[in-house]
Amino acid sequence: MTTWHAPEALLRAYAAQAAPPAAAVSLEAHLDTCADCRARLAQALPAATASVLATARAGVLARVASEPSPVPARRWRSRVVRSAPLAWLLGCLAVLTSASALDVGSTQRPALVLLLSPALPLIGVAAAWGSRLDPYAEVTASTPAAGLSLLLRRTLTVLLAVVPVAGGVGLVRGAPGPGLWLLPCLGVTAVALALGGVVGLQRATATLGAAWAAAVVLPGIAGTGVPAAVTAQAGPWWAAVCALSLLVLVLRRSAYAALPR
Amino acid sequence: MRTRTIRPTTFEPTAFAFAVRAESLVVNAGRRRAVDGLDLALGTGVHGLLGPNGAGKTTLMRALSTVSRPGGGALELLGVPMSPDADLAVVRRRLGYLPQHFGFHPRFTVRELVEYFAWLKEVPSQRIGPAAQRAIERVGLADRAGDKMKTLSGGMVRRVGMAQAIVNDPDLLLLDEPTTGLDPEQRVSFRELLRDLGSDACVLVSTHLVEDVAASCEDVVLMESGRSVFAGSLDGLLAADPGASSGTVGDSAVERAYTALLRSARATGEGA
Ligand SMILES: [Zn+2]
Repeated sequence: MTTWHAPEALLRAYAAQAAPPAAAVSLEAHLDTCADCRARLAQALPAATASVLATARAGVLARVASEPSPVPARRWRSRVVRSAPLAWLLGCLAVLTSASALDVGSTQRPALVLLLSPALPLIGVAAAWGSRLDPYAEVTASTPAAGLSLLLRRTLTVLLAVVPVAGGVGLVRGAPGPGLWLLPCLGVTAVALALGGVVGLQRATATLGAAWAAAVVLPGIAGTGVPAAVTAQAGPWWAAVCALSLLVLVLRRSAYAALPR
Repeated sequence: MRTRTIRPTTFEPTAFAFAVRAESLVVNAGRRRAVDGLDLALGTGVHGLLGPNGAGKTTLMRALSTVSRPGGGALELLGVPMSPDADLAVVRRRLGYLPQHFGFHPRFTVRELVEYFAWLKEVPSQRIGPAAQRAIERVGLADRAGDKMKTLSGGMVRRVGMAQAIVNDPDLLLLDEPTTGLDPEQRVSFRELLRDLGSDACVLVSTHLVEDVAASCEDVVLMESGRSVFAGSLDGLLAADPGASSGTVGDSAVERAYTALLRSARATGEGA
């Protein structure tokens, strides 16, 4: 604690710019730490100096008030949603629309919309974690947000985008409703996440996509009847697949704590 | 005049002696053992990680940033052992990482990008705006904060990468080739920023440029073939080259010492 304070005579001399240099330096050092002496110095200032200081202060404050304050941009949340998946969403819409166009007039085989919808989220899910297409994958993996919760949040975004699009196209073109493809869609997505924890998400989604094409889409197009995977009877099986995959995913969640390699 | 940042954590007693401690650390890159039995202990300050291309610097940086898992040995970051069941989020909140390749979404503005990373790093939401603004100012991009990423030069993108790395005031800051694309003037202000950051955090700068290390690092780790072949002060590095003591201490002296150490490490490696 300081017990010394500047004598009145020194303050007056300093205010009149007449203090000896050594005394002025030590007074300035004291003024840095002592609000009382600063207040006393302000009292001791000649009127002319005081008015210059007041004008300067008012000028600085006016300048600060007139400058634009840094605007916190909160738009990045919507940008994240917009920038990456927009192209993919448009792609999904194009695929489904052309698929439903091909469906018109063909009653021999099951609707293409039905065959394709369950596999569509795979493309979006592939980009959800550790993808080479994601410019931030590496930094993201070093943040506390990384892990299963971020993966699930991004997967949910993908599903919330693709399900209404597929449902809407189906509705407009008279294709089968979501009752037939929603559970397979969730099941395929859940298997991709669980398998991704073992072999990497990109490899898992590619493998599943190929398997879906070979086991469901191609037989469907070939006209050998509605593939069993997208019939009402398969519903309970898909529910079981979902539950089992989510269990595996939670048990092996540490696989998504760091990037594979 | 330089200002020193006082943070709440500045006055907390640290529970660990070294921000980074590795013993016989092994890290795989694909099938290759890129880091192979490395010992390392780093405290507060700016440390240089030197080594030729392919020495394992980037693989080591990825393990220290918790992006990839060690394949063997022991690693402790900020006092937390990196065991398979370690709570990584505790370490990651206090970590800053600039990877070798830092891409961007072209339509993001600088501020949006830095705020996005502040959010990923769990900076409290009312502090995200001010923290991003301060980080952007520290890397000298305040006048470009509202500009889209696609309008920036390569050096500026690198500085945005730096801003996201420091936005959470990390205690452990890992910078992989941070000076790539910076012009000489930007390098000088970057070194000043490094010294400021190193006053109360552990900063590890990986580089293949000896001059970066000579200008801003207190000590040096020299890597070759996945191992540390030298760790110590800059003076200690110079002592490795008999010719350095007579000449002036500068870039070229450090460069010569570096080459001499690498040569002897390679000779030992081949002999073994
Ligand atoms: Zn006083």
